[in-house]
Amino acid sequence: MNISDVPELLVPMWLERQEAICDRIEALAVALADGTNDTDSQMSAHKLRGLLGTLGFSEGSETAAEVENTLMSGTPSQQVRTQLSNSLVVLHDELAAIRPAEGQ
Amino acid sequence: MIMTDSPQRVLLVDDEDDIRMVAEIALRDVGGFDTMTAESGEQALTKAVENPPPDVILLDMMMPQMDGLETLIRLQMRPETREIPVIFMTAKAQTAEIEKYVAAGALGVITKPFDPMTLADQVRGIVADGGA
Repeated sequence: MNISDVPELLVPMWLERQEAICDRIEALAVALADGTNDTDSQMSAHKLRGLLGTLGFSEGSETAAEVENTLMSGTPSQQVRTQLSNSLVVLHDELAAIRPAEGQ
Repeated sequence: MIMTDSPQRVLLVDDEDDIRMVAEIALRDVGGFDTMTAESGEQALTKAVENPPPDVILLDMMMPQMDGLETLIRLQMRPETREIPVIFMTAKAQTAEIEKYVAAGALGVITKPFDPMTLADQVRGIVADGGA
């Protein structure tokens, strides 16, 4: 994932909101691993799925969709929680590492 | 329902700040719409009666407290807002869901994630088709 995934018109908005969006992914990863309030986590994953897809991060949207769908289909095992949480950590790190292109 | 061939003013309703921001850029900067925003169904009911009123309402389905469907029903119950076309935005855009939303009175459905470069065209297309 890199800055060229984001529609040019949305790059300033992404750069402004990048940290906050990464914080949301981190919070979801923690909540999912802890098993605290899966209803909120499902809603959070749903929102991230739409937002990341709209921003052009289709892989990130798919990761969020996987979390949403898993929580929708029942209470996941701790092993599944850990796997999904780890996927979110990877997503967080990839998005946090995105830097503006020269001149942006 | 009164159809506006060329809607100018869109009321965008979504509880998520970032989505409102993206959609507002898409509708205003790409599509040339005048935009109003609301962060909840309750706020949408108030904004929908402002002067001038919106020509079309773009309504997120999944919102806390008052969801999109309830907001639509409440808009339809008010004489001053019942004629305003409503388009749902939802990630749950399977055929059965779309049929349910249209049966409830929505003019159409836009799937999330949406393409910010074509969102305005989608809105205009749905309004022009009149839900056909």
